[in-house]
Amino acid sequence: MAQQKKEKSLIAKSQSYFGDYLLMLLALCVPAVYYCGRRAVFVLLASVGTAVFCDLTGGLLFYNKILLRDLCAVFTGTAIALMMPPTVPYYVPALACVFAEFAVKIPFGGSMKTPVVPAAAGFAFACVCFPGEVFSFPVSGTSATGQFVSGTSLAGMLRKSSSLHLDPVSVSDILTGSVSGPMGTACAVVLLGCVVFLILRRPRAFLSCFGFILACSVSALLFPRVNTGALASLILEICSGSLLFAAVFFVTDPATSPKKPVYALLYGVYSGILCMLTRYFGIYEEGVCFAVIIANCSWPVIQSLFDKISRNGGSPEKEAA
Amino acid sequence: MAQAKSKKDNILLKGAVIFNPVLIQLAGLCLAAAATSDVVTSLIFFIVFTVDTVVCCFLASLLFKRLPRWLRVALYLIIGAGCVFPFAFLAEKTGISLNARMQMYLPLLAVNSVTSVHCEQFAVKNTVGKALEDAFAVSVGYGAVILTLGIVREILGNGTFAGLDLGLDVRLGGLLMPFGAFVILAYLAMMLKWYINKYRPEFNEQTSVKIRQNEKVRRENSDETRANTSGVGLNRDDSITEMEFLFGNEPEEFEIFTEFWSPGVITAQDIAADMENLSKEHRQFSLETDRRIEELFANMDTGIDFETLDTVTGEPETEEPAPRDFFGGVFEDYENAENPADNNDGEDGE
Repeated sequence: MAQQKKEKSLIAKSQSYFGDYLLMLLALCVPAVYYCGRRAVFVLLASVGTAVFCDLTGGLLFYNKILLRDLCAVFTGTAIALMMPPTVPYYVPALACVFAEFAVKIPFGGSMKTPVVPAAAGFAFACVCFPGEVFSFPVSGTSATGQFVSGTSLAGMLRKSSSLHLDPVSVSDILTGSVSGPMGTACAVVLLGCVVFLILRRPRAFLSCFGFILACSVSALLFPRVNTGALASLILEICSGSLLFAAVFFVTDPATSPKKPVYALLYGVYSGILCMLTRYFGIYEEGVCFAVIIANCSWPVIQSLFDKISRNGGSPEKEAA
Repeated sequence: MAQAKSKKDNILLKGAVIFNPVLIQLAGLCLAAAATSDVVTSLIFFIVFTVDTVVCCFLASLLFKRLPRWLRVALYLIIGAGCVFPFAFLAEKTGISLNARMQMYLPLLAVNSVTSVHCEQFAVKNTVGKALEDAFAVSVGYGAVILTLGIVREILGNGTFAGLDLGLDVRLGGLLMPFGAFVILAYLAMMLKWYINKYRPEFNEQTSVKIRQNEKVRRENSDETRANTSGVGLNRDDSITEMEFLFGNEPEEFEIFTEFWSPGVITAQDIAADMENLSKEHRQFSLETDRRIEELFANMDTGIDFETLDTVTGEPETEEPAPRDFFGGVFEDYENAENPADNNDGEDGE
């Protein structure tokens, strides 16, 4: 009886979280469909459909129950699709969802018990298996006509060139998402709207997001990859790739992010530092998912260290005692 | 006759399946995860591993029974090297091309933990025949796992089987990396656990019960010894670690392994009785501790006013106590707000 009650509470909590996140993802789908046309819809359908199917079959197979009610599968499918380019073959997001569900979510018992964010793991799997497909972005505006022209994303340009500069037009393009990049993570204005929504709905989750963006901003200012000024470095780093997207949706994940506000902030900062390190030294142009996975895995150890220090008041004598 | 055959089957079944070296004992994981990206490599590793294990167990059972443990372990490594390096030398001389992966991980086979553990745990305590059976069973168990890994990873990751192109369009290159092997290993372990639960339920939780029982005996023996020697130099922790369990070097631990390897029938009543004894012991221990603390405080006349004593620092509280937490008072405030709900539902209204 108590177990059932606990499970119901977990499902309700999960529904509440992922319901909010799905609302934000829905807002991101609008520019994705606007810039990428019906191809975006098909990629979304392939991804979400596979995630839902895997969730259903996995739940019935392993637990003899339907896990779908927690909405995590829909969230995972949508998030993975929005991080892909519109030109991606349909099997890539589908396989990413299969990995997210069968290797990360279902074996650990559901959305609120996963050790890493399933969508981040799924996307990382796609990056490792199909880097060519995942990192080939079309020029913005050419997708809607159905004829794609290969372009270079902001993150790719940041890796290759140090002489990028900003002018008013390109800043507006970056803010509105009219640049080469993933379908749903390029539109900075909508993502900033999601951040505001997060502040209003989940202030505690926002702390992780804030810490993440803060750490990335400081890193961008202190160690710029472009030689055209600190502001250019800041805007390009924050708005390129899936950094803002991960800050809103992955770093604030209810199962993996810490509950205490100070820890949430520190976790965000830690993830942000890892993200910038993977950007500077990683082999892929987008390393935020790997950073989130590493942060998810290593944070419990760091938190236990903080707990130990706070319990002993930081005194080595007491710690020894 | 039938009983002897059943015992033989038992050794084979336990070595290969029930106590599979990779999936249950989690030994030799490095080789299994990193070096099994294709079928041919897995097959070569299987053959070399089998030769190494069989030779080591045979010699351990035949010659090493009277040697000290520290010498035996060194000898296993030397024998392992003696089995592995001639193979690599022969392969080079005969023109068999060892790929980079094999060149890197083949020497690791010489010092693999599966062989050492089985020599030390089983071979030196049994006859040559039984040791060979066990070595064969373990080799089959290990080989089955690495061959399965090699087949699955090569087909899904490379789209080939033993180098032959299968014409698959989609290739999951990630499975050729170690994390892919771990995911497959996890599913293999899950399937094995399901098999044990369904068809061999007598092996479920068996080892933990046996360890607990033996730990109890050990604790009693240890208490007796401590009483006899007035506690001089006996600060050893009574709890048994996994490494002690695997590489046991004391008679009691040998006993644990022997029981682990050939357990009797354990009924639900045994487990219930065991649990009851444990809870009874725990209750007695708690009562005894409470009584001693009360006695101590009753007899103590230190002049300290316990009403104003700071329980953390042991100093009398001042008007402005120093912050006790690393993060100041933030946590306490937060905990007060957080604990009643003990979940995140409270955020919905935020």
